[in-house]
Amino acid sequence: MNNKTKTAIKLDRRQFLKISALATTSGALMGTSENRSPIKITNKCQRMDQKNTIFSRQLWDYEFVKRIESSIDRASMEALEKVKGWTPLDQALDAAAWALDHKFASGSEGGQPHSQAYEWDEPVRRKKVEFQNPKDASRKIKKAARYLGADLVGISPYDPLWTYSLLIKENFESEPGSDGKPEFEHFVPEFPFEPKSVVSIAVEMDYETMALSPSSLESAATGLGYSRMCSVGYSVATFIRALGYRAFANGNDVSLSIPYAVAAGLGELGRHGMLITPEYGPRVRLVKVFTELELKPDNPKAFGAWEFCKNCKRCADACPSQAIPTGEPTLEGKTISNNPGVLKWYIDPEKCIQFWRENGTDCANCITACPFNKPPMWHHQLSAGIVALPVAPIHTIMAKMDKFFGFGDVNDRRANAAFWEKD
Amino acid sequence: MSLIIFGLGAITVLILWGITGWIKRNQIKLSWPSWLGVILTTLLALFTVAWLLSCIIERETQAAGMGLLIFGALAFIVFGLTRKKIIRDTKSQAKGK
Repeated sequence: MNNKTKTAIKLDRRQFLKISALATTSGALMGTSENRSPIKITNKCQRMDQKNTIFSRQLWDYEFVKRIESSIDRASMEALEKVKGWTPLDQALDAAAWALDHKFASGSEGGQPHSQAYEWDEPVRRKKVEFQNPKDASRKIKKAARYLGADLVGISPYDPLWTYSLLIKENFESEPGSDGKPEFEHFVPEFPFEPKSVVSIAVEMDYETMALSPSSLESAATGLGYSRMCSVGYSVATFIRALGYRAFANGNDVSLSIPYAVAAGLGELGRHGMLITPEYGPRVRLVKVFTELELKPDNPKAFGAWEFCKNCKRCADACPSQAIPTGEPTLEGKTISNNPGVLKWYIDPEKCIQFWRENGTDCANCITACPFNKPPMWHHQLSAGIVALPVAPIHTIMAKMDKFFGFGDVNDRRANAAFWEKD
Repeated sequence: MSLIIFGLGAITVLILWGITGWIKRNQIKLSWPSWLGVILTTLLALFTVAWLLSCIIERETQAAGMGLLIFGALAFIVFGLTRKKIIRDTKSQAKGK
């Protein structure tokens, strides 16, 4: 018996090598891998007119505006003030969180280009600071961006495909037309310089208040994200300008954010149409800085989110307006606010925005319900490692486990009520 | 979090100390499946405690409860099987003597 035990415990070199190889393979599979971005872009993909984005349509698409406004029940909107999550206290926090954005980038969330913190032609230092090479410049820009408040930062080359073909801007100074409709300009973007590089920046949104979706408290998390976007974006652009190179920040205006963030290796595109980052899931806001400075681009990264989204439909289940598709990725969406030609899940932004109006504030159920939306703790990082394995049944099990464990619950009125009681 | 890590380290030391002391006192020789069972039980028990505490910190009570139920049950099953195996090992060793 003793001899038998000894033989069983002893590992020979061959067995040791086998175990080591197995462990290394598992480690490699669980980690991230570069240059595996699964986004397929076809020739059908053209530059989008900003006029067709869901926010900008509210400036000119009166049929659409009439349709969404007609669904608002004014009486129930007033009654909302008594509902936890929409009380005057909650709404005050919401207003405070949005304050910096409204003061320094007003209209940016709706895509108002070339204004305030997102101006294109701010003064630039006359003498340029020289870098050893683009890699050296990238390293320094990233270091400064993190110092200035970026939670994630990546770099990609400028690609005009993602810049709107035409921009739309509300003319706040002119009086509304005789019909009471807002005046706006619709113009070709002509930047004061030819951008070469794009610095994509992600700022994290608060986990606790985001989990209270949909409510004013959740809107505060979004608002604070927007406020941080304009602060960090403007600061990073100022840093580059102070080095002698032209640069400007842009949020929802000027260009699409997600393609640049994917190209810069910040994360992957998800079923809900948002960027999923390994660190914060979709709980981020994106701001970009266009610059003439030549920087070394990062590589796109795949960490298993796209594959996971194929089997997980938690965002679609949590969406109150059924705006998120449950099927396979396609090459076109249903509305003019979808830009066709990219293989992805096209959400229905009309349904989404209609719910916002009915809800009295925005909604982030898809962000809250996403299994990648977790605080940075060891057990979530372990789960993310398992999710990175390219095995479909594991994804289905993990998505189900996430739900059984009570993560990502939405419409939680009790949690909204308890918010002000917690320290 | 650092307190949890310290606590888990302390529990690990206590468990291993207890097991090695018990083995020495009773002059038992464990077979490799028994060792595997002991290690697995320890790891699962530690995982359950760590999960529970982390979820409490995160204020995810349902996740804490589910973790206790699933990982705790798993630890309990492995513990039961290991215990059975160790008893069988000890008996056969006594017969051998």
